Amino acid sequence: MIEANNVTKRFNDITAVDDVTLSIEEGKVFGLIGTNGAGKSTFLRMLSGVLKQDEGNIEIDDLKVYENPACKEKFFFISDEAYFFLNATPDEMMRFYSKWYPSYDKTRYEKLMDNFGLDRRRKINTFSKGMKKQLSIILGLSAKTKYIFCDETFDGLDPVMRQAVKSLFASDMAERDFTPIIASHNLRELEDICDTVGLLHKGGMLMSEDLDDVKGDVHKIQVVFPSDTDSDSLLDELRILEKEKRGSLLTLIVRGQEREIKDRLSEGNPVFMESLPLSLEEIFITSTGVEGYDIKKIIY
Amino acid sequence: MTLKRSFIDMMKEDLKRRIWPLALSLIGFFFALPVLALIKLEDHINSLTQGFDSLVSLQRSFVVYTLGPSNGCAIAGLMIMAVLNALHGMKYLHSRQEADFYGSIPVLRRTKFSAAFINGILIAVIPYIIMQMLAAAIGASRGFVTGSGLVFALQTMLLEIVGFLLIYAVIVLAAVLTGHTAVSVAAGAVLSFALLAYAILIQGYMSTYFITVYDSVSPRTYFLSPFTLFGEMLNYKTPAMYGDYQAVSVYGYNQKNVLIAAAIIVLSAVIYVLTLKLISIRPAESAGKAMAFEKTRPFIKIIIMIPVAMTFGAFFPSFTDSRSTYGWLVFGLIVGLILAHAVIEIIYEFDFKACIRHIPSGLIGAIITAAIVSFFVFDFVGYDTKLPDKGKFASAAVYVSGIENSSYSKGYSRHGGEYFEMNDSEICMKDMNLSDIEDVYKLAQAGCEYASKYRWHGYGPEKGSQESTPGYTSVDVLLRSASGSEFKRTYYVDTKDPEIFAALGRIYDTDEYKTNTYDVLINDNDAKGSDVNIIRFETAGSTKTADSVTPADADRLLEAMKKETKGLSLGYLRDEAPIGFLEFELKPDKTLTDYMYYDTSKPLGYVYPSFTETLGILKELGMDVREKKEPRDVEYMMELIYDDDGNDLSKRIDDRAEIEKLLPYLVDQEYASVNFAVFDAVFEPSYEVHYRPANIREEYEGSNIEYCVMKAK
Repeated sequence: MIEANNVTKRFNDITAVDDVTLSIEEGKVFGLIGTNGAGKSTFLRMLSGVLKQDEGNIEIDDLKVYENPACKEKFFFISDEAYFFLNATPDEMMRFYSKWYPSYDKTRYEKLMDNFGLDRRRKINTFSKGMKKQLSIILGLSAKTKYIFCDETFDGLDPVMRQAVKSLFASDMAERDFTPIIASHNLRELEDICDTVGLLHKGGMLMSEDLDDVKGDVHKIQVVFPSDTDSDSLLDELRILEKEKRGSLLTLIVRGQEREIKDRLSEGNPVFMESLPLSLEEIFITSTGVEGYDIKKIIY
Repeated sequence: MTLKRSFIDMMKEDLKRRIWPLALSLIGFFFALPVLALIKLEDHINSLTQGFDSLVSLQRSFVVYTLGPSNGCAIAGLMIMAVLNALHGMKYLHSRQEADFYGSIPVLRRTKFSAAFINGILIAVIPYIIMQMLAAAIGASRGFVTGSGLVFALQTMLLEIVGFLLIYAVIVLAAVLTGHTAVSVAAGAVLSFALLAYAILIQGYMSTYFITVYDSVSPRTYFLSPFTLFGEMLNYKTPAMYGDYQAVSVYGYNQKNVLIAAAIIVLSAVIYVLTLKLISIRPAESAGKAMAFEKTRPFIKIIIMIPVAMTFGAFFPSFTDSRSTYGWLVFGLIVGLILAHAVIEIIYEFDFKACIRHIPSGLIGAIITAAIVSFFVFDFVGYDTKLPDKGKFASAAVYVSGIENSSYSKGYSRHGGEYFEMNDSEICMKDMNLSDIEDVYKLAQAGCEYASKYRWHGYGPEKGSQESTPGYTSVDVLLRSASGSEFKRTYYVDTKDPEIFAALGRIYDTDEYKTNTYDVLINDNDAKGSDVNIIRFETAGSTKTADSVTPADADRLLEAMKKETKGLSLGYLRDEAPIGFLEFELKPDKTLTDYMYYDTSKPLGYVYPSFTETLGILKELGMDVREKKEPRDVEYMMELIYDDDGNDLSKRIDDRAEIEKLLPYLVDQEYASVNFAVFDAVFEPSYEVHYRPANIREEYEGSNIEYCVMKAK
């Protein structure tokens, strides 16, 4: 369990992270979303003990992070600009990391390197940006830490690799006690992997929610009513968050219990009615729109 | 993972990243030591086979110049490696990527830092030791390095490693305080030389704006920079440093070297502990910024602004002839302050527009600078013009530069060379303790009055030069309190003033003054008669010697010189000048090891016409010494006269009667200046005495012309 309480970090006059309180549960993929400059990297760097918060406290499994090797053995941080030693090969980096992470799995490293088609003895400075990202992820996953912190790690990976990495995360989560925390400015990148999402904006946490909880309370329904039905009176009693009408097809995002919503809509004898999955974007629109934020400006 | 294991692992990993400094270190010291040793070896073998030099001399030369403190290449190599290793080892602090990398892995910051710190030392020191041993082996292979030479080389090696440590620690501290390698270089320069710069500037301002500053020829500022301290630590005081390698076969450093080394070790350890503390609180986000700790910025800026402004403040007036043009001082200070403020702010922010930011801290720097400079210009504390209460002092010492003003340094001849580095004033006053301070205080009061009179008259008095203030001479005064604190000034007093002359005369008559002023009166300075080889008596332009001297003759001469020197009075020195200078030449094997002289000379002092006993002994020994100039030796004279435009109006004097009349009053210019503070002479016109070559030529060295001035009486 990662807990951040009232964490604030300032750089001179700029407050990069402002009074953020956050709990990240184990065994779930946590997505940290926000635009550039929202404070994601700063927050992750505090989470990984690189930066020390000015106020508040951060604990991982009840251990303080800053200057605490015992705590740092529990996570692996993949920075947005990962550092590799000058003229080093992947094997040399692996050997370095294996000295500091007690559960480092060299066999897994070799297997993943083979699977990803990366040469273990080639100098890293000859790798492409995407290859370096892959290597960072392989080195991180091989550390077999309980947590992995990824800062914009998926940025630069092609869709196939992105999917492969997601699969690796999923398989590790299934096999062992593993919790990835992924920061990204791109909401769609995290759409199919995150269980919980935190939205950072201008240093503050706008929301942090379990996607299942959100999805249980907000529903996207497409419905077609006969032409003589007074749809407006039917919809009046529903908590409509968004409504779009294209011809006779009405697409609604509605807050409430799905059964009750459908029962109410059924009273208009719809010729067609179907529930659709909500995208992360729609969840954010519905969850934050009421707070007065122009979410589209925040997440793109 | 235990801390120890973690530290060793980190050292190994860090070492893998530092291959090029290691290679540079190996190559550099290879050329600075073994290659140099091979060059010297060949050179020395040639010198030996051709008989140019003795084996002992070449052994010393090899050890001193290859393995010892005179191998400048090895010293420069250590200094360069100290700077390079510190910057390279700490560059991880200046990169955001590396800050993220090392900050997130399960290693304490201080573990990483300590590993990098220790490696930086080992990378330089281990190759240095290996190459030093190789060079020693090369020398030993042909007998140029013996047991004592090896010990000396080992001592030098240890001292040089200690010197390296301090420079390295200071540059590491600079790297920790900053967030950018280029700024680290500048910060390293500031930490290394700021104190020295302050000391030099303060000395410069004092000597410019105070007129009673006691000028020491060797200000003790070497300890203010790790670089100068390195050099001072290797400054060993044996005759070898004077170039005489034959004389002493003993190598070694003295207690001072060891004390400096011990102090450096302690200081380096303190800096290491300080940097370790700083590392644990150093914000990682400072990587890439100029300064790591925001709060230090104004302080660092002010520390740099002050000396920069003071340097500019001294620079512009240096082009003027008069100190009274304070406008250029103010202009220089303002320019320096503005420039320093702007440049530092630009560096802090890496932004040109930042030059006008943080004005308040700049103003504080300006106020402090103005206060410091005002202290010198306006002398608020009365440095020049006020004396502490007389009752505070228990004893005093005086040195008058114009009494017994000799061309040889007293440092060679006193206390086994212990005072070698001191100037004559320091030497004379060191052991002088005049219990009656009344007359010394009177001189000091007169000096204060002089200072009050001239402080605000532009640059008028060039520190008591006779041209600007005739009759004034400088008197160094040292007043000591019972607790040991000292009040030291150089005052300018008018020795023509009867009261001053009387006070000076009473001081002169004391045993304490004479014993510490005249070398011959210092008992522990005596040469044994049995060690004397030759007696030498120098007069203007000629030297008489007595070669067959018995120990009894030498002892008798020494006693006569002591007695007659003791009998001198200031009144006599006002009227008479010396007629020659007496010295012993010691036997060759009784020089450096026993007396610590530069050469075999053992000066006794000036001989005056009143030294009848001394002159009698010299005559007994067969030396043709003359108490006065003989008219029969003179061919003609020239009266040297020049008008204000420099036109030569000199006239030749051939008239024998006039020559006979003038000759008793003429004094050789050199001897006239021995006691110039009191000797009553007329400097214009001066005279040339042309001796008859047939009569006297063989006694003269080079010229038969003597330049003279006229006695007043």
